[in-house]
Amino acid sequence: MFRRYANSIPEGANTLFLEHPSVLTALLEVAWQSRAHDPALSLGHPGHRSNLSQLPDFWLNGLKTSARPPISPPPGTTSIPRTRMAAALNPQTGGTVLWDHLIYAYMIESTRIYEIFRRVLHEFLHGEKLGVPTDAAQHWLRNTEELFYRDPPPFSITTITSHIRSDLRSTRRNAYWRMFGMDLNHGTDEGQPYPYIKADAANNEFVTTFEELLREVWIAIANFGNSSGANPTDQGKIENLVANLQNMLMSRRANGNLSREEFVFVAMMSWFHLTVQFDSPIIQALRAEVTGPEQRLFKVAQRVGLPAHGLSKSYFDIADPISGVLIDIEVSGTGIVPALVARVPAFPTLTPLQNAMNTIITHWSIITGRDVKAGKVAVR
Amino acid sequence: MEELTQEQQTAQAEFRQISDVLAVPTLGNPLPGPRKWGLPHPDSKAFADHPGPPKPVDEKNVGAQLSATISEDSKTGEPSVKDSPKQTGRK
Repeated sequence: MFRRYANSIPEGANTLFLEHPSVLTALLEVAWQSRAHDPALSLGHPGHRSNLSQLPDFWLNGLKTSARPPISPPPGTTSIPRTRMAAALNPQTGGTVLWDHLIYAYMIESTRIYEIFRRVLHEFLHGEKLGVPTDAAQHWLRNTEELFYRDPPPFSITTITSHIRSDLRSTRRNAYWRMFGMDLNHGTDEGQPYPYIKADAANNEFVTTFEELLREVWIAIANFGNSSGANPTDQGKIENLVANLQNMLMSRRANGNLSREEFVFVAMMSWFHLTVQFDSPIIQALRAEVTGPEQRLFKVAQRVGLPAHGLSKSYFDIADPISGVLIDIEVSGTGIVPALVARVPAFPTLTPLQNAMNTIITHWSIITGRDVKAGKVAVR
Repeated sequence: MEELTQEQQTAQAEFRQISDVLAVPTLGNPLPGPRKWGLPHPDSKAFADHPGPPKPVDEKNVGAQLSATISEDSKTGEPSVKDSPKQTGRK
């Protein structure tokens, strides 16, 4: 979400990092207010994620107009094609915002970025071991601490801590477990598993189903240009897998469940992702200017003595395409299959959806160590 | 080669729309259309107050400069800046 906001304000991310924390919270509030919203769609659908309201108008309007520059929602699509999301994503009716899928937050957090920057804050706020932060870095530190390492302000849409769930790290793990049946690849700093509540209602089959889909899509992509011989593409199986995925994801989202948590966690991880996407003030203050987000993260990790995940590049690279594809599956279900399996004349090579799947296949194989492209060995 | 069917058109349009709304710039690649912002390159201003290399000594006024830059350490015998002794989680 912060990456999207950085798109639309002058000077982009550097200005964003200099804002007051209350303005940044208001930005999120406005984004929630401008979410894709079509009441005709089922509650939980990407075009109708939630009916929970943002701050009341008398309050939010004051925040929006008093900020300099005044807060407006990030712009939406430039064209409105006739799609299932057309009514929900319509700038005329105010719907311009679609946030990333929870899988985005999972992938970014798997790099250990949250824990690494926790150490950065710890060192800068307790001493001068890392030097004295620059003026611009002071703003980043203040904002990051206020937004992500303390309880959010009351009544905000971002307020998902309470006496019932006091630990944001546990809450995130709980959400990942419920939606994907996956835990993060790191536990506490001492190497112990991080304690959190593992709900019974969890998509334990997500990984196997999704991996099977990747395998079948790879077969389709590898054979879609066949002009002679057999084509092992199994469209029926792909449809079945996509329908399975849509059902399991939408089951966890019934009546808008987990939407608010997803919004907050995605926004949180986009802040850290944006921080390492370029030589941002804190990266400069840490003297970690190198090329590529994963290299910056490695450098920062080295400075604070907490290693990042060695495959961080794959986690960063897979985060955006996998988010788009899972949202597309939630929106269209088996409707995406024709574009997955067929060769479309307008795209002489791969279609954008196939391209995204191809990227996911590559990095999923690297991350999991299971080569999706190799195919299964049948036991007879 | 297959013809572009209505189903394929819809599927493509939907993914394109989702991707368009979710799109963010990458370094050196600003977004098309009205969203012109691209990731900024290193900002030299951020270095302005960073402790850099020592300034060159003005030979004409060395004495005054030395007394002005004399460190707290040499005055008190104690380092003026101490880090927290706690080294959490690190060996």
